[in-house]
Amino acid sequence: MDKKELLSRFEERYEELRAKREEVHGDIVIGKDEDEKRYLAYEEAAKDNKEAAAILDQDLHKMYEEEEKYNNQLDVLDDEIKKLAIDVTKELKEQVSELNKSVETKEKHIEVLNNEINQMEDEIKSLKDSESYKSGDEETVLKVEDLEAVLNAKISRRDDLTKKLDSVKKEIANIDKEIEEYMDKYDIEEADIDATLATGKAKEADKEENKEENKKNKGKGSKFVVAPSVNDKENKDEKEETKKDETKALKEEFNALYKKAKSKEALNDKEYKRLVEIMQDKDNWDKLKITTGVIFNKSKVILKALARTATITAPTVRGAREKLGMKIEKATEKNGMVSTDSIRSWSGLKDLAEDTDTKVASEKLFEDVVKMDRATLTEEQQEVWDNAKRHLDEFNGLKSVLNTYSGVVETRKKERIEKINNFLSAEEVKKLDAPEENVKTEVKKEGLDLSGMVEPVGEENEVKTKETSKEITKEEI
Amino acid sequence: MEEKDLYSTEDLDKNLEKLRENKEILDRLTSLHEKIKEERNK
Repeated sequence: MDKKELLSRFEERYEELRAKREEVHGDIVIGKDEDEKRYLAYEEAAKDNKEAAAILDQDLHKMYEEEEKYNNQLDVLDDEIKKLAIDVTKELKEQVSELNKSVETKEKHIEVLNNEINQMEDEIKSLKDSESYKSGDEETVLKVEDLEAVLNAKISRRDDLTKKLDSVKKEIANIDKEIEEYMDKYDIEEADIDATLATGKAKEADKEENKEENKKNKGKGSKFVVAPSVNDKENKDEKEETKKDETKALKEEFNALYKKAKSKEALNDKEYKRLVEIMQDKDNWDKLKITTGVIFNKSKVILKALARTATITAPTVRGAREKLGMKIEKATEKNGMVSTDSIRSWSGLKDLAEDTDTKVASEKLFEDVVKMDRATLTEEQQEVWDNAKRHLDEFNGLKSVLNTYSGVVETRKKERIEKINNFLSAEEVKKLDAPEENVKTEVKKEGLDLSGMVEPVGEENEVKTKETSKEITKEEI
Repeated sequence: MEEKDLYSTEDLDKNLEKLRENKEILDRLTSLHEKIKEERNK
């Protein structure tokens, strides 16, 4: 199938999957609002009612399955897109190379034209210097005029061609640069392109090697000439190779853990810790080619994965947020993490901003710093300002992610409460609708630890989670 | 080589056109890939 047709099909398929996924995705409830306690109480109550619990569980599982189904289809589509992108990139690279060769040929043509032009100029000059021309010999004068007309036409064409070549070279260079940028930026073809082009490159390298070898043998008989930098080069290659292997291993490890977090499988504590550890290390972001935005999104997937497990509790989520550098509580002497004075001093602030381990990323503090006019600060202070700005940007990015979590789909929640109501007795429903104190007691009795819930730190951007129902076996249903 | 061949950029234009077409396809593929990435992270 033609590449363009294939592309159109991909675009149509994407729109179709996106719409379907959105329909399901909007139904999945993970989050909290002001009625969360009441909602959780309903869910707790439903746990005692096998029918209600089974319905809820099936409901939730169905939604996740649906979402996962479309996720998988999107992945398949993405793989197809990548394959085509690799082919097109490869083709583009070849076209760029061919075009560069054509440009070189044309440049040689220009040289030929230049020689012709020079010869003609010489000829015209010589004719003009001749006695016959000076005496006004009609034939000579006409010949000079003819030659000048041809010369001018040649010069004009040469200039046009030169201009055209310059613009073509510029366009090719730009496209070539963009191809490289695509490979880096979107991480589409990088590994795959390398593999795809490896055969071609290896062949070229072999050719070059043979050429070099032939040259050496031709010029120097049987003598072996070892360049002094060979050992250095080998060491450098080895180091680069090790670095590549490490990055590859890290990528594989991260992808496996992240894939698990995205799937319905629960991460065990060790896996979870490792995943967070990888994500916390900013050096890894470059290695994994992920941006801050992606980190936040990935954090979201991890939190979501955690929320899927039956063992999730509010303190676990808080722990997760802390481990991900998300702790945003204001630093005070009281918590013993850092002294207020050190926060207030520039140097203390600088250390604080650079030290990701202390996790004392006080939003207010950074906001205050960023409010200052950077231009009026000293170089050292500007450095602190930049760090504070970076932290604040990250923090705001995080808030937007958390906000998504907080956006509980009300309709969905109401539907679930209605379903629970259908299975609960009138007395039980009455009890659930009782004043908040009763609800709290009920919740505590059921073992759901609400006391550990993170205190609201922002106005509305808090992420909170709930226990999801445990899987119900067929026998129980 | 004939003089008109020296000035002709027909082949160059043709190849450049193909390059542009492929570049456009890659642009659209990349944009689609990015959209999927965003969608998956939602």
